[in-house]
Amino acid sequence: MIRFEQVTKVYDRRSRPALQDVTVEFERGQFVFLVGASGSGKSTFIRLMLREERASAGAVYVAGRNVARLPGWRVPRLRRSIGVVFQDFRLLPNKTVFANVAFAMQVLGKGRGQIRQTVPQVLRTVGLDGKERRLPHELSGGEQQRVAIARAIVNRPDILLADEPTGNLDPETSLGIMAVLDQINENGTTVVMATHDHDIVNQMRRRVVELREGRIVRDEQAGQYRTAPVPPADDWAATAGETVQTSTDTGTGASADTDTDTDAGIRAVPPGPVRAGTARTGTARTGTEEGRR
Amino acid sequence: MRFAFILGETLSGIRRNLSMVVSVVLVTFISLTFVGAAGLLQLQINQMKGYWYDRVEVAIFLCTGTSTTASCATGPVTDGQREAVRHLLESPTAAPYVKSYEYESQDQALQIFQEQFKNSAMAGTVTAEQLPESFRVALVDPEQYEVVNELFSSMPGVELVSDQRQLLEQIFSLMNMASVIAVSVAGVMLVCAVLLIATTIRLSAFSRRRETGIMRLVGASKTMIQLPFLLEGVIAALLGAVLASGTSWAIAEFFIGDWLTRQYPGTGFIAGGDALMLVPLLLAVAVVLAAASSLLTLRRYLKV
Repeated sequence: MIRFEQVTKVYDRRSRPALQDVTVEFERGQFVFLVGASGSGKSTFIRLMLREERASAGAVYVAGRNVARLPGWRVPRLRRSIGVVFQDFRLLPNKTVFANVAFAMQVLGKGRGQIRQTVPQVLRTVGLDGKERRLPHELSGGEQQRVAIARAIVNRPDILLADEPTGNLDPETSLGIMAVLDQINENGTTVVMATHDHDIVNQMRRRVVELREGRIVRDEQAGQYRTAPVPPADDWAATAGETVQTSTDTGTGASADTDTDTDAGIRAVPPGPVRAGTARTGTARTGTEEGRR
Repeated sequence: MRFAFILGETLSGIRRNLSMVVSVVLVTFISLTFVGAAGLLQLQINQMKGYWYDRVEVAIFLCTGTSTTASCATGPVTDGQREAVRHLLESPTAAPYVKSYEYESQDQALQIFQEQFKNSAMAGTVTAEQLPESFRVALVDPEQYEVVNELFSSMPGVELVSDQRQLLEQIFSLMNMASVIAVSVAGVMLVCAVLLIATTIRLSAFSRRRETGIMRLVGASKTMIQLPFLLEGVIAALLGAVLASGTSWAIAEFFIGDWLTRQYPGTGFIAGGDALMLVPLLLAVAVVLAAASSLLTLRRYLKV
């Protein structure tokens, strides 16, 4: 569904790259946490998928297409297959809940009948029954984020990207939001969520990809938010070999058949231990790909 | 649905940005009115050329009892002298230069005079005897006035040969000058209009960046995102052009067609109907300029 192949993103030649030689793959229907400190490259990762930025090197495949090579006029079509949710909700303050969600359909030229039918359904999915006529400022933060989620999924995208969606919310409200995202994921949508929320990551036990200074330093199938300090990237590189050598992972499989396979979801989940916190199915580490080639 | 939505977005953009849109309307209105005025002047020049060039080019005035020039020393023109002039006009010497001629008697001259000056007190005091009779000569080539002048000015009974076209040329060059000035003013004003449209679109895009940001993210097409802004600029400019067209028509109809025609009845003036020719031009200028400046601005300031 989403595959990064040796992706490097440099914003400014003088400073270190925002992403450096990142290789990773997310399958259809997965729920992936992207964790890491501020400045670790999470947002760049998301922006590359949306083609808000172009990779400086490497290829970014979304739904079988290399986004970095996509001509400008095809970008809208790409974005129709991706829903996005942000920390700051980004609702239109002068539009009602209904109108905010309907807006996403109107701008794609959807008919009035279809909008009237779909929007209430989606609002029910995110738990906003009966609040169609409220304005954003009349809602709590959690409710506003639900509206944003409804807007992101109303056009039924295959992928939902969430950039710290619980960043502005208290823990309890965050859990509600996570339940909504989980449900959306269960309906078949691939969800990629960038976060620093320890509790949520630890409770959900989903795949965790950790970024650090633009490199992937950890990729666990049912991971936790690591609370202990991670060794610096260079040290990690020295010890990385043992974890990656064992894995016959998606990295190789992916590079073999991806160019033809637009429906990555049918591929098997990478083998490897899923014991929480210990397993490293090291598809991610940059050195591994290079080493094998 | 889709079109209705785009139009709705356009209208809400105009509502939010009303003062800027109004200023665009006014600036395009004024600048296009100058364009219209230049156009009217040109139309009027053409009209007068067509009207006058066929009629008067050279007038051969004959002596009256009150003439003071040397060639009229013998008093008013005699029948014989008049016939001599008419004869020469038809003779092989002059005929190659003469396209046609008309004789205007003193009574006819009085009629025309009274018609022309009917609003003035002079009309009642002038008598036919005070006005010269004349031959009005149209030349094959209007530039060959000198030949005719030489042939006739020394004839007895001829008071004066005058090239009326020269008089008209002066008027025309004056009018041409006026229309050049109008076009220059219009040019400067149009530059203002274009810059103002660009600024307006930029402000509008900025004030609606939240909406356009969401449009981008959900994958709205470039057209869907940009068209409302483009339409905003074009509609404002079109409104200005409509006002300018109305003003040009009003000037042609009421000032030129009505008032000036009454003041100078002998002259062929354009009327409101002729100004309608300018309307498509003004509308096209407005649309093209607004669309071009909006598009350039959008390309720079509205990420898609």
